[in-house]
Formats: sequence, C-alpha cells, structure tokens
Amino acid sequence: MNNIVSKISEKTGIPSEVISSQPKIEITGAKSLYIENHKGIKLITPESIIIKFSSGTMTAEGKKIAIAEMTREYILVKGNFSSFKFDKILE
Amino acid sequence: MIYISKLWKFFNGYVIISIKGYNIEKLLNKALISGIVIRQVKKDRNAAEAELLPEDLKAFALLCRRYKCRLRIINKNGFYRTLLFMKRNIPYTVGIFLSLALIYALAQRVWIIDITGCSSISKHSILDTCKSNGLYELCDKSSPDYKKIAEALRIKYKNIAWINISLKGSRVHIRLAEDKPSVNAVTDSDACDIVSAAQCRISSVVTEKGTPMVKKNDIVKKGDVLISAQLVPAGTEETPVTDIVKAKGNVRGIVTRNYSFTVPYTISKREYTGRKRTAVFIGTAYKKICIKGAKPFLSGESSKEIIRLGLGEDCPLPFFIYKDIYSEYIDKSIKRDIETVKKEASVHITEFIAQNYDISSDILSVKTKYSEGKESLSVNAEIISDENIGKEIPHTDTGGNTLNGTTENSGIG
Repeated sequence: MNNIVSKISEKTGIPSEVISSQPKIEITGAKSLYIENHKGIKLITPESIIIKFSSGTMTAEGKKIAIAEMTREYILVKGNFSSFKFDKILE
Repeated sequence: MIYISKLWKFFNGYVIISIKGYNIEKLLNKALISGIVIRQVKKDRNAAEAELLPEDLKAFALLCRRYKCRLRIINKNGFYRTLLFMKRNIPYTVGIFLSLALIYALAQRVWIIDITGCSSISKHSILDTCKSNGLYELCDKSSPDYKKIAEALRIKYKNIAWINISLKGSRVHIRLAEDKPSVNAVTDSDACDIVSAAQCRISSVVTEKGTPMVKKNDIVKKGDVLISAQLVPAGTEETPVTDIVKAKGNVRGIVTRNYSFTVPYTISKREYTGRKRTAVFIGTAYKKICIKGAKPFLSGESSKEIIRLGLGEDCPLPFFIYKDIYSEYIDKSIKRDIETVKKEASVHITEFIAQNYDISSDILSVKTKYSEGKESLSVNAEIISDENIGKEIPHTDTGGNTLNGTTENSGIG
C-alpha cells in the first residue's frame, strides 16, 4: 500500500503526507516539535512524550515537555528536547 | 503568527482546567477524536493542567466522567471575562481608562530638549530663543514650527553653519554645527621674526633659521628683534639677493621682575554656627512651587541645589527639585603675628611664580624686601629668571624694535 502511495506521489508531485496518513514532523531547534497526521498520544510526562501514528510511534525526550496545542490535525509540543526515537515509522 | 493565535485565544476566551486520573492520555485522545481543541497540556504523574475553549468544556466534562478523571476549573480568562470583571469593578475600570488618557495626554508634550554640537553658543541662550518661538519643555509637541525655529536660530547666531531640529517621541533633538573661526596664527610658510618678550640680558642664542641680531650678554628691550627673518644679503653689490624666511631659534635671557603686594595683619574669618535653613521648591524649568519656605540669615551665605527627576539616567523628566540652603556664619577678625604674615607672603610669591612663569623657565633668585606698616606688611619680591624670551611675530621690512618703531638692533646702519 505504501509503495503504491509513494509511486503516485512521485508521479503526480503531490506530497505523500497529503494522500496518505504518513506523519509530517517539523522540529524547530530543540524547543519545538510540530506533528501532523498523528493518532493521539500514548504517554506524556515532563521528561518524555510518546506520540502515536498509523505506522508506529515516536518518542521525544527532554525536559519541561508540554503540549502547546493539540487538535485532530496536529500537535505542537514545546520543551527542551534531547533525543527523538522512531519505532516502525520509517518502514 | 503565534501572537495572532494568542490574540484569537484571548478574544475567544479560554478555561484553565485541572484533570486528575489514571487515564489522562486516553482521555486526551478521545477528546481529540471528539474535535475538542486542547492547549497548554502539562502533565505530572496522574495530574494534568490544560486550557480549553469554553464551548468544549461541557463535552470534555462528560468524557472525564467516562474515563473516571476528576475535572476542576482553575480559572476562566479571555476578553469577555475581562469585560465582566471591568463591569463589576468600576473604580478599577475608571482607573485604567484614566491612566491611558493620562499617558496619551503626557505623550503629546515635549519632555526633553536635547542640544548637541554647540560650543561657543550657550545652551541656555538657544533654549531662550526656542522658548520665544514656542518650543519649551512641557509644551504641546505639535504646536511649534520646527523649521521656523531652526531658521530663527540661524538668523540669531551667524556662526551656525548647519542646524536640524527633529522630534522623536517626546524628545526634541536640536543638532547644530558651528563655523570654526580662522586662526590668525603664523603659519610655516609666513615670514616671521623672533622678538624679545621682555627687557632682559641675553644668556644664550641658538639660531636654526634666520639672522641672529643679538649675542650673549646683550641688553635688549621688549620688542627688539632677536632673530630676523631676513637672511644676510648675498650676490653682488649691484644686484643683491635677499631672502625672507620664517625665523626659528631659541633665545634665552635673564629677566628681572618686581612683584609688590601687601598682606594685612588682621583678617576676618567666617565661622559657621552650624545653623542651616532649607527652602524646597518643585517645578519645571520655568515655573516652581514652594513646598517648604525658609528665610535667609542676616549674616549667612546661600547655596543652591537642583535635582532633576527622572526614570533612570536615560530618561530625565522635565521636573526639578530646587533647594536653597542658607548657612549662618559669624565674621571673626584674627590678628596675626609678623612671622605668620611673612609665611603667607612667601606662599603668595610661590603662587605668583607658579602661575606666571613657564615650565621651561629657571628661577635664579628671589629677593624679598619687607616694610612693616601700621595695618599691613608691604612686600616687594625681585624675581630673577632665565627664560625663553623669543616670540614669533610677522616680519616687517623696517626691522628694529617692533613696539617703538626704532631701528635699534635692526642691523640697519
């Protein structure tokens, strides 16, 4: 399925996150994390946040982590991030 | 963008809530699916804080009940809430609006007039001219015609080469540049003689350029030419070749000067009683109001102290505190013995030498004669010094003494 989507995206030039549920992640410096196409959060503590996607999860670790804004479309997370870890997301 | 979002949030209003429970993440995910926008989620252990839109609160409360979380409203904020608060607190609202009106009214005034670039013209006289043209501290900043004031200043002070008056906020900047007067000094290219600055006996003559007109042990008067700008004629007698140069050299002479003065035996000395009175005024540069009045003493002196009020060094305000301090004293006459008076005379002579003699001068001797009078001691000091007596003046064809016009020491005849 993913291969088909990526082929369509390549041929048409439409971004893959638009035609599929692949996440779009933007990290600004080490203080802001903006994620589109998420499926909610699994865990949040001041030191870490685990965000769910259709294809896996992402773990961000750091200090003073808080959700600045959360809607169905996107999550904006603020904090002092030290590491990001992806599980199955890049398959 | 973030500011627009914050502004939107403020106008829309928001509720700060606290959630307690063990399934907060699940609750948040469910809320997202329900289309509830959640902001500023901060979670610690089994408690979290978040911001919600007021219209989502009811739906979120239902979800909390389903996920067995306890919901508590901490605060309600926003434009509507602020309006409600202001409606309930009329004095607060009136205070806010009065403050805003006061700030606006004060911002329409000129608070500071900065003047830069003037050296020969005093700032006070510039301020007076500005005042006569309607620009002064605390005047309405839109009323003065700044171009007209600049023109008036330029007309009044002829040596203003350039002037600019600009208004920045509540501060008026007057920047000007003055014409520098041309110095009538002898330049390197001008021909000049070196003449004697005082009557003396020549002790040494060192000539670098020009013709020396005197030699050691010559007696010269003030104004006599010591080194002439005219070089010794060369060529043939029929067609002499002469050249005029800028004379250079060092001529030293032994000069004798007399300095006479009197020192009184009795002097009056002020003795302060320690009593002080202070009058305090507050106001602007032009008007002041008395806060605390005080009368000056019959025999006393007064001093003034002006303190400018301000918010730090960079933001002076146009308000001043004026203090007139009066101190009482008693005049006491003290009679001194002859030795004390002589000591004072000696100090007086030393001060005279320090003030009137150049650092290159050598004082050879100081002979002091005292004559005792009834009320004072007359002192006559004969000061003999070896000093540089050459002084540059523009060359004249006549030569000789430049002051009395004689041909003495001119080398003519």
